[in-house]
Amino acid sequence: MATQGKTKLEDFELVELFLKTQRPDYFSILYQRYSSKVYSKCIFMLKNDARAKDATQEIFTKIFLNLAKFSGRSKFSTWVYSITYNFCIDTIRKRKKEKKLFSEEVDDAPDIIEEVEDATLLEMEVSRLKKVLEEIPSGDRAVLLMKYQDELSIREIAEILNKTESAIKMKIKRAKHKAQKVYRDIFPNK
Amino acid sequence: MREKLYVMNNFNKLSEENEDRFPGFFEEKKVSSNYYFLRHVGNVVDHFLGRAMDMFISFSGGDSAGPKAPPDQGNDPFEDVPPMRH
Repeated sequence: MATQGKTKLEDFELVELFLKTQRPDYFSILYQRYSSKVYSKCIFMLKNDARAKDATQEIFTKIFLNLAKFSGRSKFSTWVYSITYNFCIDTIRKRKKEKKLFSEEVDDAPDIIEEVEDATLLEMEVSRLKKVLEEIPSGDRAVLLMKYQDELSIREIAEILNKTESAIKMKIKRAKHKAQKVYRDIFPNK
Repeated sequence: MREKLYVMNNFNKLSEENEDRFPGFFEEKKVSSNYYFLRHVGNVVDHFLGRAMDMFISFSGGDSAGPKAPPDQGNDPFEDVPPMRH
């Protein structure tokens, strides 16, 4: 009964209670709510099941250690996703030793690019969307996931990636363009 | 302000596919053991940090042990330094 009551608590209430009491069952509820979501993002970003599992563990350890720093200014989910994306981006940078994670840095992208409709990506057949997301640069993948999967605002994405809102708008525009180009390259007859 | 919600969103379907693959229980046990390990480390640090600080203070001439620093003789430590001129 007591557990049922706890599971109805809001995220920020669980954080407060955990910090106050240090009882692991409060953290456990947060873990149950977010672990699969974090894992899903890690799979998208790292493209490897074992690495995604390890990353999920490390991210939750980070969340645990930094829980006292959660100010409540943003939603708890946004804070968790922020740690997740930044952890994955750092991991990719270290592993591949690559500094350029966005298509605008990888390609010689033109300044003016056509606007791609949201529906083009959102209604893409699931297996093809998966393939396209695997092929685009990691940074592009991250901004598209934040915008369309997590439905974060431009401001929130800007805060997570420590960029300006106008820079994020441009990154999303370029990422959509890149995704469409990759789709046309992989599935030329569709 | 929150962005608009999309009517059809296959990003979410993809995410659900991934989430279904997550072996929750096994992973939770690992995080839980990490938690207890870190808590244990925290307790150990809490316990010994005070003692370590005491020892440090003692060795550096503090109150609790060893010869104390000589009392102040009233000398000006900067008496040999000429005044600055602009």
